[in-house]
Formats: sequence, C-alpha cells, structure tokens
Amino acid sequence: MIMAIGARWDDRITGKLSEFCVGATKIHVDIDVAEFGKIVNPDVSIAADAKLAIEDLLPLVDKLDTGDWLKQIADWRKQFPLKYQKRGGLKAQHVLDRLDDLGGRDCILTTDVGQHQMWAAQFCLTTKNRHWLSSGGAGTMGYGFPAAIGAQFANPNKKVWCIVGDGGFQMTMAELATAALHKLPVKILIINNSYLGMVRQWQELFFENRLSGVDLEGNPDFVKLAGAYGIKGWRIKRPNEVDRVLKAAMEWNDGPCLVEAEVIKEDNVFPMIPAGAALRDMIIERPKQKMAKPEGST
Amino acid sequence: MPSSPARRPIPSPSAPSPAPAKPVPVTKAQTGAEALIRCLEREGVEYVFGLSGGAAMPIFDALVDSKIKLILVRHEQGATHMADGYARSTGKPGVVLVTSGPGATNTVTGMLTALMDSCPMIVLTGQTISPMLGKDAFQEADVTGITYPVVKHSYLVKNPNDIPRVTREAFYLATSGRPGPVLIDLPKDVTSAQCTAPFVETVEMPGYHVPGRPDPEPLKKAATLIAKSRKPVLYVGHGAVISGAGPAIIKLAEKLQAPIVNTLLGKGACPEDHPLHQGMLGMHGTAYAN
Amino acid sequence: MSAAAAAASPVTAHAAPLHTISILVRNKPGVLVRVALVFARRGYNIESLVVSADVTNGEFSRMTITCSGDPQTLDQIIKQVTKLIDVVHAFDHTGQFVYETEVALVKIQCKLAERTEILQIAELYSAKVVDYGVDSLIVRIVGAAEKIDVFLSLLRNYQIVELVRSGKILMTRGLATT
Repeated sequence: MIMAIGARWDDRITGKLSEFCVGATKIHVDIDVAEFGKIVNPDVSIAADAKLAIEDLLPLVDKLDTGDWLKQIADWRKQFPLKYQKRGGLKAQHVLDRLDDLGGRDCILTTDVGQHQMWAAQFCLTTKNRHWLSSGGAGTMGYGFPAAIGAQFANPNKKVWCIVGDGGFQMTMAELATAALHKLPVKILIINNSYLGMVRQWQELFFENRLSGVDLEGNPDFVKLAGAYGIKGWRIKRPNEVDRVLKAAMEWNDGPCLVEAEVIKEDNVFPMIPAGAALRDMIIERPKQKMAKPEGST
Repeated sequence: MPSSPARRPIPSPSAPSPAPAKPVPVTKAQTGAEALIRCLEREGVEYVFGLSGGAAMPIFDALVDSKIKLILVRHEQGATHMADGYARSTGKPGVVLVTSGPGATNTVTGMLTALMDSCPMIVLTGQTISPMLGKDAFQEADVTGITYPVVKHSYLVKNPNDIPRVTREAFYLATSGRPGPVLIDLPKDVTSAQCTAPFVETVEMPGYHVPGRPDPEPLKKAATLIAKSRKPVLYVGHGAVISGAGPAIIKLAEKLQAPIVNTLLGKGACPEDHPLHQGMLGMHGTAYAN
Repeated sequence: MSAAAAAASPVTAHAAPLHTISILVRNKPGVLVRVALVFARRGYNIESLVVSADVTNGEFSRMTITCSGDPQTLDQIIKQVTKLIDVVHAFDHTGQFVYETEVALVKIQCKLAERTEILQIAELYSAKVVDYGVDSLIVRIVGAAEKIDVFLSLLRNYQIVELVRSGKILMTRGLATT
C-alpha cells in the first residue's frame, strides 16, 4: 500500500508508470482534485487539506503487522547505503555531508538545479518544515541564490545557506549587489565543477560520453567576484580544508559570504533511475557497459 | 462516464462565499496606485521585490509613503525567485512589482517555477495606458496573454475601482487551496486615476471551491485498505509541507509502524532523521527508499 | 451516431468518437482563451465551440465544445477546465438525455434549371432556402449534427461553394442544470 500525502506521482518519482507499484493499493490525499487520476488511478482519493485528512484518519487506523517489512527495509539500508569515494580529490558529497554535520540542519537551505541539488537532497537532512527550498517541478537554474535572499528577509533570525552550482549561480548572480547592499548574512556555497554536471552525467551514461554544451570554460574566480561586491569569500581546494572553512562561514555575521568549493570535475549522482525506466532498473554505481538512451520525458 | 462533480444550480450574484462583512469605506481620495498599496498593507505585505519602469511609476511613487519595504533587484527574474523564497519559507505570499513589456516577460520563468511547485506569489506588472493596448506601444506586451499557462489566475485591471476587489481576490487565490502565482496587470492610466471604491473583506468566487476536512466515506474506505496492508509506505510531498501535516504524519507512521519517504519538495515535512524515515525517493533517491 | 450515417458522410469522418462538453463560465474577457488553452496544451483539436451569455444571469456564459478523444484524457481535460478559476462547472454530455442541435448554411453554385433536385432534398430535410440568386443559392438546415452530415453527403454531387456550421449546442431535458 502506498499513500500519497500532498504528492502528485511526478515522473521523477514513478519512473516507468506501467511498472510502478504494480499490485499495490494506492491512496491519494490531495487538495487539488484535478490531480486524482492524472498520472495514477488511486483506489481511494481523499480531497482535503493534508493535515486535516491525516488528523481525521488517525483514530480510524491501528497498528499494522509490519515487522517483516521494516526488517527488509533495514536490510536494504545496510546493503545499499548512500556512499561516495572519500579519496581522489574534493567531492561535493563530502562538502555537503560536512555541512549537514556542522549545523546545516538548523539552517534554511536553498539549492539551485543540478547534481549539487541532488547531492544536497541526499546528504543534507531536513528536519524542520519549510527549511528546504528547491525548484523541483520547473527545475529552474538561477533559483537558489535569489530564493536564499528572499528567505533571509523573511527569517532574519535564521541562518540561510544557498547551495548552488557554478552554472546556475551565474544566471542570477547580479543579485550579489542586493545581498551586499542589505547586508544579508546569506551564505553562498558554490559547488564548482566547471560543468553543467547533470547534463554531462547524462551524456556520459547515455550518449557515449559525447559532451555537447556542458563545459563551462571561462568561469570567473568566484571569490574575487564576491570581493568585487565587498563580500567575504573563501575557497576550498582540498578535503582537509572543508571543516575549517564551513565553520568560519557558519559563524560569519557581517553581511553575505561566499564559499567556492572546487570539486572534482567529473562525478556522477547515484543512485539514478534513468528517465522512463522502472524503479528496479535503478543504477547504484557507474555501469560497466553502454546504456540505451532513456525513453521517458526529460 | 467521467467522475463529474455533483450538479449545482447556477449561483446567484447575491450568494456570498465566506461570512460577509461590511466593506471598509475609503476615508480620503486616492489614486489607483495608492489604493493598491493600501490593499497590500492590509494584506500584511512587508516586502515587495521589484524593479521600476515607466508603466509602473505611479505604483513606485505610492510606495514611497508606505511602510512596505521595496527591495530593488538587478533583474526581474531575481525578484520572482526572492518572492518565491520568501513565500516558501513562511507560507505568506511573496510580492513582485515590475514594469511593462520586458520587465513583465522577465518574470515568466519565476512564475512557472512558482506554479509548478505550488508557491503563493502575487506579481504586479505595470502596463501601457489602456487606449494603447494592442497597438505596440513602447514597452507594451500582452502580459495576460503570455502568462495564461504559467499562472493560477490573472487579472487585467481596466477600472481603478476594481483594485480593492481584485487585490483581495488575488491574495485569496494565491494562498488558498493549492497555492500559486497570481498576476495583476495594471495599466498606467488606471493606477493614476482616482479610486473611490471601498476596501473589501470577502470575495465571491463561484466555481472556486477549496476542500477542507475530508469526507468521511473515502476516509473509511482508506482505513479499510490500510488495515489490510502488510507493506505500507507513506509517500510525502510538498502538500504536506504547505499544510504543516508533518506532526500528524509522524503520529500516523508511528501508530501504523509504516516507513516514510519524501519527494524532493517534501523534505522537511517530517524530520528526515526520524527512525521510520527512509529518505528521498525517485530518480536520485536512496536505493532503499525506492 | 449510427454507423451508416458515419460511413455515408465524407464531411465528418472521425477516428475517435465525438464528445460534447458543456461549460458554465464567468462572463469575462479572456475566459475563452483560457479554456481553449487547456485543450491546445494537450494537442486536442476542438471541432466546434459555441459560447453565449447565459440568459438567467448575465454574469455567466455557457460554452459548448465538441471534441474527439479517449475517455481518460477527456476526463482529465474536464478536471483541468473545472480547475480554472472562472469556470463554474464542466460536464461531458455525450450519450446523455439531452436535446442537441446545430445550424448550417450551404452555398451551392447551380443554374436555375438544375435546382429541382436540390430543392427536393432540402424539402425532405426541412431545410430552407434563404438566398435564391441566378447562379447560386444558400440553404439553411437546422438539426442534429448527424442529420446535417447526411444532408451534406447527399449534396456532394453538386458544387458546394461555401459551408459554415455553427457547432453543436445542447440542453439537458427536464429541470436538471446543463
């Protein structure tokens, strides 16, 4: 049984629809009745506000016999944990993992769009409501930095980190002026791999590594750029610099600050379910043989 | 036969929606722009993110005397994403103010972003004077036409006395049900002319119904299906964040002993470090969540 | 729609069955575009669209749209149309207890001597000649879409110069709201 609570069975979640949760009972709770039957035909659709629906459902249900199920999931967790190679240069996953440990969970995090967004989603655990701002449905590059500015205006007593890639950041970086002018203590973490990483990953996996339109040569020195706006900047080049810099940025309270993490140029986000593939066709690590082009929507 | 809603009689104009209240009278003469700013203040707006221009000048002028803070941006796309970040982190609508033509079209990406992720936003666009609409005036664009597919709803105000009603409706639409961006296109002559209409508290929106508490029938059916389940999964999305359903979902998960997974946008509804939480699912979700 | 009628009329040959949807909307500029966009976005062709102010209440208008498509997608279209703020409700009336009709004007080029047959066919279908000239005439026919389809197919041997159809309008029988 799968119960969707305020979720819309997006293609990024379901993968190949004909093989998604075959045989499972589906319950859909949504405030927008047009979502019922749009992607998935639920066995029960509940048109309501999510909170009110769950509150009203609580007294009607009881403990289920899920011991075996939970054990199976725990086994899967042991067998297929999220992982990355700690050696071999500075990794984005490492930087984000450390941010999570060094107080990230108390901060509002915004992201831009791309590999860094997925790694941030995997490694930065969100424990408070409305503390994770990311462009999901539209996947708009350039979203992360201005969204962080808006979030900081709205929450002056919270720390706000925006996690962006070098590509997306350059689309709206003119707002550095806005952040500097208002002395907003937004903390910008640029995961700089000099590539449009997510597209490069797809080209590597599905287009025989024929790279086209992904190499971001000519990126500026982001720390110098921040300096041009009077914004404090740090650069991380090696794994042993990560903690020191992140802690310093976390404590910085004199206006915005920028951390440029020069991560390895080519790395891939795993697990990955290619667009249009079924969930069980998930790739856990870099495949050894050539892969067919995905059939699903972008 | 498709599942159609129950047939309703044609609503009469005098049938109100929420509890009616007396309209608040206007105490002194004001322009459309001034009325607009007063309405924004009444809605509790603290910040407006924007970039000025000819067609929106009356509104920018009226902002000078307001306690609403104008945050001047460097590009209108930045303004929309700032309003978006403001809105997603608080639940209050973010407000954008831009000028006509290219200023307005620069907000399209931000509105698409807000619409796809159900984020409450009000986008105010200046527009060329009404007699020039459709005549390719300087910095004119058919903004309502261009934005039909990227808004929850939009308005082109032709009469300054419509401003109080339109503003109240826009804020109601942006924040109720499934939130989304609402655009208000304001020709310069409309914002410069006198507005004598009173402020409104309630609006009538026949054809717009917001579900609240669920009907008991589907709930009972769901409960029955849940009771039969041995492998339940609670799949939590942005709707849970918007409605603050997290604590209730945790209670449900603990009662059922069911695992929780969330979407990219569902992160934060339930704390991801809870023992029953299995992480994000989907294309780049954890293997065990999938 | 009878199979014979469908086969006999070259004018309207549809792969998928036609559905007629009646929509009650607020009478405001731009509503038509918003509704049409819901169809266009899904690559759906609107076969006909009729809209007019509702008599009981000038604040609302009634749209009748005929389109073709599979029931699943049409169900989604109706839901998305209903979601529009200015739409009060939308129903698919296909196969229901309704009265439906349409009007068509046909301009036929013909000499005075050749007209007898055309006028006989017109009389058979209760169609009226509304313009009678030396080289041409205009026939007006009112009735169900299928009846008009058959009428037009009977005229295919003549020189039809122009054809305008109004699109279907309908109303539920009895006191139920359309």
